[in-house]
Amino acid sequence: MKGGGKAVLAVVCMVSLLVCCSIMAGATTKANEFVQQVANYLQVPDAQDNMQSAGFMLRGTYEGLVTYKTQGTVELEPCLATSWEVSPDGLIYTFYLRQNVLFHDGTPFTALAVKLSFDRIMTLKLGKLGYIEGIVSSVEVVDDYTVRILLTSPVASILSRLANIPIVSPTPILQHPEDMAKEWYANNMAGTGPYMLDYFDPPAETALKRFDAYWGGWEGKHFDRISFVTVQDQLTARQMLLGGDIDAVWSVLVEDFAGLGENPDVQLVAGSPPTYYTIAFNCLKFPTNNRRVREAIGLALDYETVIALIGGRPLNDTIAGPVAETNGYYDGTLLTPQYDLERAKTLLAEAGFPGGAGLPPIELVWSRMWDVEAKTVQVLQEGLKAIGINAVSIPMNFAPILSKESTPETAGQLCFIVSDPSIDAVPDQLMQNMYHTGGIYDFSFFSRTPDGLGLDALIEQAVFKTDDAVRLELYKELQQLLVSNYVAMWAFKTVDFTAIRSDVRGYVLVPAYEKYVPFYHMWKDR
Amino acid sequence: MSVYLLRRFAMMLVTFFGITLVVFTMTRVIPADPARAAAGVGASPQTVAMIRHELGLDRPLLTQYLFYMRDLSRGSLGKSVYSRKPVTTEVLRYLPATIELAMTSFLVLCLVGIPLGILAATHRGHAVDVVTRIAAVGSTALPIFWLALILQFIFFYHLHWFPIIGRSGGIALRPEHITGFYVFDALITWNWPALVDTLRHMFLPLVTLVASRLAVVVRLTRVCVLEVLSEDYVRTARAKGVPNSRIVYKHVLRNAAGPIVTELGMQLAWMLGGSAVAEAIFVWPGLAYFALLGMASVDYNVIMAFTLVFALIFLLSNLLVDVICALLNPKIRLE
Repeated sequence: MKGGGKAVLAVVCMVSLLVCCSIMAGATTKANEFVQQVANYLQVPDAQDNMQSAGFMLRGTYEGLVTYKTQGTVELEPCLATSWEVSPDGLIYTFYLRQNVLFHDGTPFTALAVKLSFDRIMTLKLGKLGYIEGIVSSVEVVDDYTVRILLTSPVASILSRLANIPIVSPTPILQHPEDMAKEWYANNMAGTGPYMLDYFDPPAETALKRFDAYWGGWEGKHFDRISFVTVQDQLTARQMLLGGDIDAVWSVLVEDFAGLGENPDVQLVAGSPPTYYTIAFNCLKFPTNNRRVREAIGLALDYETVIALIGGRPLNDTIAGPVAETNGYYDGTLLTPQYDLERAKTLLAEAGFPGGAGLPPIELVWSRMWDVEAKTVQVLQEGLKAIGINAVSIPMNFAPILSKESTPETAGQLCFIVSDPSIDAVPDQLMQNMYHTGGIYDFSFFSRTPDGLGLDALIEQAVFKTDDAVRLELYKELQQLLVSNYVAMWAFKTVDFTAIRSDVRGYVLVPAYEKYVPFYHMWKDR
Repeated sequence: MSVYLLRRFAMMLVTFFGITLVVFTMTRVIPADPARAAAGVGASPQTVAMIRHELGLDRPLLTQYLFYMRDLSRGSLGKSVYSRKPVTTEVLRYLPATIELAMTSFLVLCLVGIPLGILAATHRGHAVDVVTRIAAVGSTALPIFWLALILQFIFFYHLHWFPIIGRSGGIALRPEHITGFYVFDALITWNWPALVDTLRHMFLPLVTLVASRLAVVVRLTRVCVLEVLSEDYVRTARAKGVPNSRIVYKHVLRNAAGPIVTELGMQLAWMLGGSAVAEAIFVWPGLAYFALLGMASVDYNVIMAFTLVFALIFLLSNLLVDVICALLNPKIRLE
């Protein structure tokens, strides 16, 4: 007994000692450091590849020739290029580069860096190729501070595409010509941004530190360090925010609004632009390959109930069509979606499935990341049940969704797509990504159906037209084609909220870069 | 004994081989394309095809398996589809954290569970017995994820006694890397701030793991000790005036140890492999956490590596338990 009692006593003493040490230790973030939560696995990102989870780090470390303004708009401004000229035929863009800029490894920024950056993307076929493939034919060095980008065809959105192309240091590329520094950039970072990699040890600790030689200078208040903590569980992240261990939590749940909003230590910041939720129909898979069935499903969602569940108007609302209503190419004649179970039942009967008879269960694929999708799924399932359709909910993470939805055979009949259509002045990337054959979010496969065979050509025409009036008509035609064929349920737009500590200042969401934060413009008021 | 061990080792290899075949096939038949997921948003079809080729995913399934086994025989677990780094390197990076948490939890489980079981057995029917059993069963009945969140809520959010996540409070507080086991590295380098910091971070996940398994150890110890306490030789020893503590720890416990050791072996294996929930909630950077991230990314090689490592751990722990039991009790013949 004595031995056992001693063991228990020893454990109790140790715990008490730890508690004392803990009380003496502090647990809040420093005044010159911004600590943010990330929900996914972080790895050192090759900036020119597309690694979604590392985007938080990229914006602080790399820059492009142009960038979006940080005032919450979608306007572009010079960055590594100070000005540019466009040839009359729209095929040649000449950029005049900023001088006295250094990369994090000390290499001076010149036209050679721009050329090698583009060559690297095109040669290695890295993720960013999607922004310039078939559009940029070559990049030429004119002199140290002048570079020429040649296009295959004039493209209206070329500058917004270039804003997504980071310029990397040429030194590793020249030192590792065998793989154009692919291995090197998988483990290191060398951009021109205000922050550089300090240490990297996910999932616990990854941090950027300020780059003292940054061309933008360090006048005024700025953070010295940006840290990233991987926390997948939202409840844990919330507790850390309230306890002061982190400074920002993304995508606050609707249920947390009241609690966090009333807390004086936390401020809720609305995301801009709104996030659009679309439910794509798999137009090649039974039964959603039937247009009437698609229309019936679209009528079975109680949109008003979902809006009430996700926080009500005016921050949330229904949408009509794929293009944002604030976009200059929006077709204002499109109608918002309706909820009509009787009409839905009639359509099913007309399609040969009265009361849902003969219809198999349909797969409804959605992402665990988005609370809106979870709520919509519940309401939609009830509506479909009412018209005789059994919908099987399939929650997944982002990566498996991309995989599952890559072919019509493996894809579900319905799948959510989240987008920010109002961030682009021209909706060509939206159309290419979501409705063109092979587009990363082409979950409808409509372009491969008999009714959609002309879709690809129509999109390509719209992308490469420079006449604004013609382009407007083409985009309206595209919208009509998609909506009249019920290619998707264009359901909701919502405003996401980010919760950050009240003492953080200068926080502005850059809508074109989704929720990536311009750390350089932020500080703490302590 | 040596014949027995050889035979067991051969059976282990066969079992291991079967596991690789089953898990490999299961991961590949999932309708997913990890190359597409790894390429990310905006990637062109050429990029996806290139990644697929780079990772050998465009080969026939049988070819992929043979290549995998060839690499495995050379000690390579392939490359992570997501991070493009060797999985062996990643496993060796994350494994010490899991082993450290599991072993420490196991040690505490033994230090707390066995004495509590003995206490309950020697005070059978009294308040101590009842309270001990209720507390142990109650803690095990609580869902582990709920317990973890409640501990965070109380000890971090309200009391601020312990950190909520992670393994250390920052790179400056980490001990010098020698083995990768922070407690051990801190001890041998006399780095007391690092030791305290590590133990502080370990406390909540440790309590979660121990509480979730406590009832099993307490109740089994109680039952085994009670059984032996009723033996004639124990009564004789008492009649001869042998002190109670000597009776319990020298005679009773040793004879009751067989089933307890067997169960503790299983508990250790569980702690090594079943700590995924604790690692996920506390962001403890161990192998289970790494595997969860790999599963979210449909990272085949990570999923395989995790399964194989823990399959090996279970197989070895089974063997170890049998050998220890035989050593403890000469009556047991390993055949």
